[in-house]
Amino acid sequence: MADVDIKGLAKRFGETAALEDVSLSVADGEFCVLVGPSGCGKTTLLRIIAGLETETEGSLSIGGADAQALAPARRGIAMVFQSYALYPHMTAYRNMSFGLKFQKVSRPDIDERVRSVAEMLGISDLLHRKPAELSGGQRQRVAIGRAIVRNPKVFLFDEPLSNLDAALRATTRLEIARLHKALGATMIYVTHDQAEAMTLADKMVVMKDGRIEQIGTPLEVYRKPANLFVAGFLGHPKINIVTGAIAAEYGAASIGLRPEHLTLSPSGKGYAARVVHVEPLGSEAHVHLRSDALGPLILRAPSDFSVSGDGDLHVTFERTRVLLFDENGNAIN
Amino acid sequence: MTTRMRLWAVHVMLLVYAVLALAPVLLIAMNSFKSRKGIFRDPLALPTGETFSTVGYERVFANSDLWLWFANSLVVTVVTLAAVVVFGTMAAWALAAYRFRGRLVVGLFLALGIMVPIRLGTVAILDLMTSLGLTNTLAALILVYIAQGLPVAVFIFSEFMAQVPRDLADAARCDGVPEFRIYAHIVLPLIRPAIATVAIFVMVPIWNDLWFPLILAPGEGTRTITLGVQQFIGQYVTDWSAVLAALTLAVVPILVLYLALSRMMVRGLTEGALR
Repeated sequence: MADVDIKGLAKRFGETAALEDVSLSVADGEFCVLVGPSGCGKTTLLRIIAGLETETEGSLSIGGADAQALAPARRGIAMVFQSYALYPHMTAYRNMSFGLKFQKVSRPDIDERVRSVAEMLGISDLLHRKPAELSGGQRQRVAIGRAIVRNPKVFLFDEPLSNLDAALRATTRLEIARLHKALGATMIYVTHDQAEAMTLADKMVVMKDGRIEQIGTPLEVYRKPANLFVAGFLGHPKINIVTGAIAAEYGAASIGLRPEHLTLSPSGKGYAARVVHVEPLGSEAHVHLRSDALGPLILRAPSDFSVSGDGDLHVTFERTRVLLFDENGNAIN
Repeated sequence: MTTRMRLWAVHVMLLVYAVLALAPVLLIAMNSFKSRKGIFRDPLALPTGETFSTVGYERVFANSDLWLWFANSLVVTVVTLAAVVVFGTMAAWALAAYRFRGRLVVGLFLALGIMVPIRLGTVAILDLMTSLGLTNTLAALILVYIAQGLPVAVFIFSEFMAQVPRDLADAARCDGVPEFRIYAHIVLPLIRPAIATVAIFVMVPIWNDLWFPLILAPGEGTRTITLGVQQFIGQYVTDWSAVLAALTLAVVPILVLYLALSRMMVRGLTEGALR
């Protein structure tokens, strides 16, 4: 059993609050992603769970036991760092086995564990190399291997993919998802990348300025954002926010329209708009529009989109797709 | 073209400096192989068939406790070096990695040691050593030299340790590595070049020091090499051949240590230990 339970957690550095009133429970085996812009406190929260940072107030339990008084190594966690944090003067093998020597694990046992994990991660041939002789992706595997070898109840990932190039990031993302299935362990994963958050999470936690803005499954959070910040943070291209008279028609201070929910109407119905710019992406096109009634808009169109005539056209959307927000930016149900 | 000229200019400057620094040493070594007459007739000449003589060396080996002086100097230098490296790295790691009450005060206190020359405290130190009954022991010298070397050592170590990524220690903590093992197995190997640098910085002044051996340990059995050489310098007659021979010999061990350490330093730097 390795659920993580956090209640009323706060972290203050002098006057400034890094975390304020954070409560979160992660079930056993769940993949929980903490996502938010930089400086939102997500890494601090992860470091507190790891025991590398001490909370100012609140409670934290891991696997049902109070973890606050425990040293990091006693919490049953393993952490993968953004910088990999591999020991530069040790080979990959030593990197993975070093911590085990202090856990009263016997030498043959250590060897067996390291070799089987290396097998699983496809780094068996690299075990004799030092970090400097490994590529970014290989270092990442060694770092993950070092975490798995410990047999932790909870895995903590701190932006593990942000130092990798785009192609490698996508494949490693898949591998982490596969790893989660294979190990069945609880994982808490910090990222600022919404694609990682959406694809990996069972439970997504959106944070901003040290507070949790919303918790839910990725689709829940995407479809029903709790407020304007969450709505704007998720989704690419960014959600269109319309204020003024049209929002008032819906009884809201502002309304949110996802770019994929806008359609171009050939019949001349809907709101008049003019094409400002088209970004062809191959698989689709992002059309930047300007409408007198709605303001600037982005619309997701098929890849064969082209401007006909003088670029004047009409935009429509379904009422049921519209997200409503009150004057404080909170969602109206 | 300009970069090439700049390279030349730099090398010329370095060469001039090297000549300036090495000339006295060469002069001593050169004249140590000359007879007394040869030294005084033309001090700048190389030893020739006529002036060549090993009389200085013969007298040094025959009439002195050279090996005892060497042993004393080596014991003092090596023990001090070891203590400065052990305590210096520990103090620096504590100051660099942990936040604790009084951290700033301790740091400033150590920095003060760099600014105030330890010789200012000579009278008090002599007083203290007398009270402790440590006069005429190597321990007295070792204690003073540790105090002399530590501030600079801590300063240099701190600078290097500030470059050791915090994540490394944190990762080790998550791995369950005890704090002392983090220091010993992760931090120390990474700052190896710094250890060599500090060792050189600390070692040379100690080996060359005349002041404290003269004051704290002038006895027959505890003389260091620099103090021992003085026995050939008399008020009325100075045996220059012997003095120069002894000085030349005194350079050898420190040169060997220096070469070993600087090789270690370069190896550490080229390995890019911190990357």
